[in-house]
Amino acid sequence: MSLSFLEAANIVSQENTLVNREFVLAASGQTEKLEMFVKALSICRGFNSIYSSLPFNTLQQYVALSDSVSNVTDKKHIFLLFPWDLVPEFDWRLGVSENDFDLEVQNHQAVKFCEKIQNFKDKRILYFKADVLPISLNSSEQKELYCQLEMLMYKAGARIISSNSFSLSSYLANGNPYSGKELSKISDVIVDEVDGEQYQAKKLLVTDFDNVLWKGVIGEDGVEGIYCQNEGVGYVHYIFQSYLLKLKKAGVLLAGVTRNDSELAELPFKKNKTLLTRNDFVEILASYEAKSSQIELLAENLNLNLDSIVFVDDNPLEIEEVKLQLPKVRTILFPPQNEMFPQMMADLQKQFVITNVTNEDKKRTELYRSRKQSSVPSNRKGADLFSYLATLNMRISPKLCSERDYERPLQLINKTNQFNLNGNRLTEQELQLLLKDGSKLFSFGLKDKFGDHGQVISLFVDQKLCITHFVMSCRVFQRKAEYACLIWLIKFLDAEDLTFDFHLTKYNTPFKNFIDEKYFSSFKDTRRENKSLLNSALFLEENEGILDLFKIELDN
Amino acid sequence: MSDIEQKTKNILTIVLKLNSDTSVQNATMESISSWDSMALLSIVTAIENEFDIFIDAAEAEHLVSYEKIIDFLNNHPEIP
Repeated sequence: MSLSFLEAANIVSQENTLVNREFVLAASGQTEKLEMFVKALSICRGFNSIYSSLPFNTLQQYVALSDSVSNVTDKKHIFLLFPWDLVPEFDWRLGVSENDFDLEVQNHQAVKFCEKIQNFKDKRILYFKADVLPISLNSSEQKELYCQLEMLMYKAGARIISSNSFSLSSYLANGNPYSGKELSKISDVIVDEVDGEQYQAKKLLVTDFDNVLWKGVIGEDGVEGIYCQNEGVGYVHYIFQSYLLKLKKAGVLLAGVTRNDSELAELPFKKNKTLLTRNDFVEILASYEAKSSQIELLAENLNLNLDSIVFVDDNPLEIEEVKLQLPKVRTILFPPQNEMFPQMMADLQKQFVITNVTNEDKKRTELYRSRKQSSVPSNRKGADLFSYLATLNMRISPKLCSERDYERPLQLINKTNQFNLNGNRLTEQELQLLLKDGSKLFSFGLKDKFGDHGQVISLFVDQKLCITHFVMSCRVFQRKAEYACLIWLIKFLDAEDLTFDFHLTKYNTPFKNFIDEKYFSSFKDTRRENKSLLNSALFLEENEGILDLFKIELDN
Repeated sequence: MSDIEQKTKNILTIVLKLNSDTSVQNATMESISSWDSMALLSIVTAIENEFDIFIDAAEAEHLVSYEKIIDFLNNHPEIP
């Protein structure tokens, strides 16, 4: 979860009755900058962080005295360590020493520091891989030491934080080593460690399917358009599956939760497109409901605690939704770029501490499968996303497209399957004809705090106010963007009623769910064709609040 | 009031713990007793985070009034 300063301040300013969790934030630098974010992010996770920190530059003394003061080492500690905490000569604030550099001596110093840290019984370590002062005239020797420090930290169970979290300017100016831009991210990791449950071995791994188990969206690309082989674009997905298979054989349960129709979700297994088989999963829940409610149902069905579950998804929105509703579930984002894949796998690996595998472990999936009654997806209403969506800072940009400006809307109409009014495709010529006949083509862009999603909704309205095409990219499901666009459109067209040329297709269940809502009614038009009629007044009355979630930016 | 002005006003109110009577628009390091060097650090941090920018120590030294902060932000190349 990521917060801005003002969002964090707003959360902290509200009174709450959450439980307090006490700990010591042990760092050599100033930590005041982090306070607002640590407090706010803790509240988001369901507790208050009450912590003490050390006076500036006293970490060495604090750690050195630890073996003689047991009431200190019994407390929970979150250590924020930099290379210069292990080798003080690396500290930028000291300037370069004239003394000779001795790799062995410096390394010994670092080992001793790590041994002292081990005195702390309940500790978590974050190691910031910051750039260091050049203390040796031999750069390769210095690099060797730098790598040894990282190894030491790995052995000590540290989480490694990337170097861009360090700000030399701030550190030199006032002893605060943390980059102002990264405060929320750093604090999120700290809160994660305070929460502490995640390093207990997990029992169930819940995975999304599209763009996680395979590359592609089965509902859009079809079974032939998804990839998870040990070559090409699906390579990392193959590796992910191979790791899941290893976990399953070691007794970890696997479950799938996907926004799809059940039959479609299981098709890749039936067609042997995947390394994993259907039977490797203890359950697969395919539904369009919120992921949190699906995971909750899984936990109930399998009689597992929520804190024994790890959830992997490629969509930051789904991750945030689950974090918000089920803070005990450990969430892991499947990264959009392959460069971030090793870090994600390392994070995943840490969740499952498996030392020896018994015969029962190997058969656990089968045992659970035989025990469970059914795998009916939850039809419970999803978690109320409104409060979360309000934090996304979503901006919609509607555009009335011209005869020269239709490329992306046309592409969207021709490749979208799931949120698609009727599955009707268009050629360029047909599109031009529609425009000449007076139909209007609208395209809607969407931006939020995660970035620019581009043009994600396209729709055609003919002269009789009948919507003939209406599609939305599956990348932006669950944001209420379709409602916002329709509200905007009703107002723009000043339309009392809108008709929809809806037809059920093999893939458009998400659109069917939308049009099944009470604002729509079915009728036969003058050509005796089935149409759906939207009661605009009722739709506006009941959904106008949705516009509060969005800022409308007119695209000129 | 622009987005920059509103956010800056909120940041100063929170960091300097100003009450509703205080005119934030006229706030300077000299006129507000709680605006010391540590508070300046917190203000700079909050601005960096809120506007997703980096403020160099040399620039931070000049951010000693509401007006100067607004001027700095309005002319910052990374803020639209």
